[in-house]
Amino acid sequence: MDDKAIVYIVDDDEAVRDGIEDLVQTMGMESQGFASAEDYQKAQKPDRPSCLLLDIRMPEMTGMELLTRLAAEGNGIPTIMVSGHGDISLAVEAMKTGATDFIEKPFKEQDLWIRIKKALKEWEDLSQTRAHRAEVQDKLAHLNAKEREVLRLLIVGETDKQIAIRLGVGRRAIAFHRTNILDKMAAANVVELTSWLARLDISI
Amino acid sequence: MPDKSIEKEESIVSGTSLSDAENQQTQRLHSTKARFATLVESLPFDVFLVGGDGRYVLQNTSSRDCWGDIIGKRPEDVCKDKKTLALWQSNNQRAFRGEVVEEDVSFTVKGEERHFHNIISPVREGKEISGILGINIDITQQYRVECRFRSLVEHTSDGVFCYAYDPPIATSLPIAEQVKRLYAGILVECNDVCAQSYGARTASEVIGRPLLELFRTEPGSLDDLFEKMIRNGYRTADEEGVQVQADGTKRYYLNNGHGVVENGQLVHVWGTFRDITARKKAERALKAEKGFVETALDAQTDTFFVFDPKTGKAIRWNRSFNEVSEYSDDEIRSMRAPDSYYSRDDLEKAAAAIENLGGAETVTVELSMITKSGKTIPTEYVGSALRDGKGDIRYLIAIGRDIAERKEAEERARRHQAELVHMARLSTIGQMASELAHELNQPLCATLAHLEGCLGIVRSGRSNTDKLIQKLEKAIRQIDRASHIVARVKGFAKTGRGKRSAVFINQVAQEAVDFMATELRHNQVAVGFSLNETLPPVQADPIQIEQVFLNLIHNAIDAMADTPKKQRKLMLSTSAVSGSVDVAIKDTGRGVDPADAERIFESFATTKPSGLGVGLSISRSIVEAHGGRVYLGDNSANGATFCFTLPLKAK
Repeated sequence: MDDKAIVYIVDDDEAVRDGIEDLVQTMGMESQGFASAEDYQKAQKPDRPSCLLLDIRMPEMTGMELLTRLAAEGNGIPTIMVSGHGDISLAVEAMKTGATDFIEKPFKEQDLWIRIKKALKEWEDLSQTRAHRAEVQDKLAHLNAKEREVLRLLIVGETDKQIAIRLGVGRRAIAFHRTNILDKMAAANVVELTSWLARLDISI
Repeated sequence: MPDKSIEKEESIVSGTSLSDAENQQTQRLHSTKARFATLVESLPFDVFLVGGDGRYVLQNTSSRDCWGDIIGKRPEDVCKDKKTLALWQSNNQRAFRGEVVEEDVSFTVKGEERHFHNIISPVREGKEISGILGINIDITQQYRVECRFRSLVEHTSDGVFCYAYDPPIATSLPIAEQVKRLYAGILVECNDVCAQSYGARTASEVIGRPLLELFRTEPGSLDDLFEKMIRNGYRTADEEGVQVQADGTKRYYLNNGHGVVENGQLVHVWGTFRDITARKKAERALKAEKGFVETALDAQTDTFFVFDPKTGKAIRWNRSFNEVSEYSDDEIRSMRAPDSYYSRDDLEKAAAAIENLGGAETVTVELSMITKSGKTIPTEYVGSALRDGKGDIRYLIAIGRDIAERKEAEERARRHQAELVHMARLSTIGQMASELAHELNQPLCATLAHLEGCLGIVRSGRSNTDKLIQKLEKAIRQIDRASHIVARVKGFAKTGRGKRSAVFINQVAQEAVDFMATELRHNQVAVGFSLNETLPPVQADPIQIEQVFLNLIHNAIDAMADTPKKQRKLMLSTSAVSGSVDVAIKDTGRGVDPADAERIFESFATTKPSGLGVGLSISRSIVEAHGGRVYLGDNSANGATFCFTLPLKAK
């Protein structure tokens, strides 16, 4: 981590927000608090390791609503739902919606630290995935139309022969294309390339 | 008497041939005749002479004044009134037939009815009747007096009678003898009232009949009355007597009698009597009524006590008063009311109540009677006054009811109400438990965060005292915040004693909203107030009234669950309406289904999936206990308004 991690805190209770902000800072991270989901949405966020501590219950837009909205907008960020007493069912729902974890108020530093670490790890993974995806997509962009077509058939498991017949070309031509594709994509073989695309959820 | 003198004059007037020897005598006679004529002329009554031919030949001045000059005229020339004329003629004819007519007659003279004592006698010449001599004495005056007297006798509601004694009773006789003879009276005069008491219809039916027959009694039965009368100087005054009627019933009379004694002899007994049977009956009924009232009063469990407020003397009381006070009649008589029966404080209350009686019919006051053995009996008195003619209080009547039981029942009801409210509050807390836990979590969370932060700073070894102090102070503030929440819940849950005090409704409304603030905020309900700032205080239990607010606000929040967040609005308004304070709580919820509107105030009636259905019924019970009422005001699909009123003067 070159950049200092930043923890965003959304809670309508100023005292709670303030307490958590301070605590996070003593943990050696940066923190930034928001009084409402709307404020968070509006704010500019630097591209740094980060996670979100989100209070489930808030007037106006609730934590759940914000979580759903961020996912829909593609602005997903590892999120720890902060629940009050008796909000377990909401927390479970939040996990299903994509929250990293949840923590119940009041919580200890240790518990929070574990979750923040987990979330930042997730951010890291997410960040790596994003980078990998960008890389793969960039490479994909270098394939020509023919190669793309061949790749599309290769990843669904068709043999060179089948592809040759389908495209009306010779088998050697297919072998040639495949070699070029693997070359351009820097993949060892078709199986590796297929797994990348599946993992990074890239469709051709 | 007049007959003879007129006969003499008649002989003079008619005259006879006289011898010379008698001339002197004749002369004397003439002068006598002249004097006599003057006398006749000046008599104050009519004198007239009618000749054989039926014409008037003589009349005196009185006659002339009355009838005008009638000499030479016949009655029919003189009298224009047919009835009078007929009477004249008939009387004249009777006299011409030799009869001396003497009777009272009524003549119409110059249009006026006058009454005369009319005497007409024949004037004889030898055996022949040559004329008639008449006199008319005007008795109109006496007649009228007698008429009035008659009328009085006839029309009085008293019976009037007169018994005559013939032979008269000598007052010198022994009393026993006189008494015996008094039974021999004959009724000679009476009015119809008297006759009716004898069982007849009119006086004429009974006049002339003997006393014993009329009284339907035997000699001896009236001895006492008669003897009393004799001893009392032949008078009786307001003497009560009984008479058995023809049908056997008794009638009671008040008798007044007066014996007429002439020359030492009792000749008449006049008397009047009044039928007092009805009065007697009423008296008997009254006596029975009195006995009845007495019995009824004694049968009462309420105490009944009448006293003279000026002297403090007890006048009347019933058995119950003896029993409750434990004092005997003699003791009560010797005691002073009300001082002897109450504490000083109560006496002041009693005095104030008596003061109030000035303007009111009755006054109600609660006092504790101290009994002979020192027990205290809480009693509710209804006092009223007996006033004299001037309207001043003469006696005070106090009817007291032992209200120990009622007091206890009231206390029980009050406790019950308080328990109910307490339960309602606990249930409110239950409903709000998760809100409260959440609310409490906030400061706990903040505190923990600050403290962990401190720990982190200390552990890091980069001790920053300022930072530490700042964080610790923040932590303390949060602990403070938490303890305030706890205190509020504790304060809320405490049992109301049901104590009434002067309560400002606006303040209670504000407190209720404050208490519900978290819930209102989380449900994003906007709260608006429209409070009349000049409301007078009401006598109420503030905790109970707050509970009503809480229940209604809670319901309003529930009702707005499906309302878009931006439109959720709760409006509290207060206003003063003659003698009461009105509160309205308006929401923008789904409203109350008209089909439910009837039963929502009943216990265990709920339209919510998770509700006991006691909120509104408890609210109603509280408000009604304060003498007010709860009702559903405006109600539509856009919201409902629940209202309650509290009277300024508590029940």
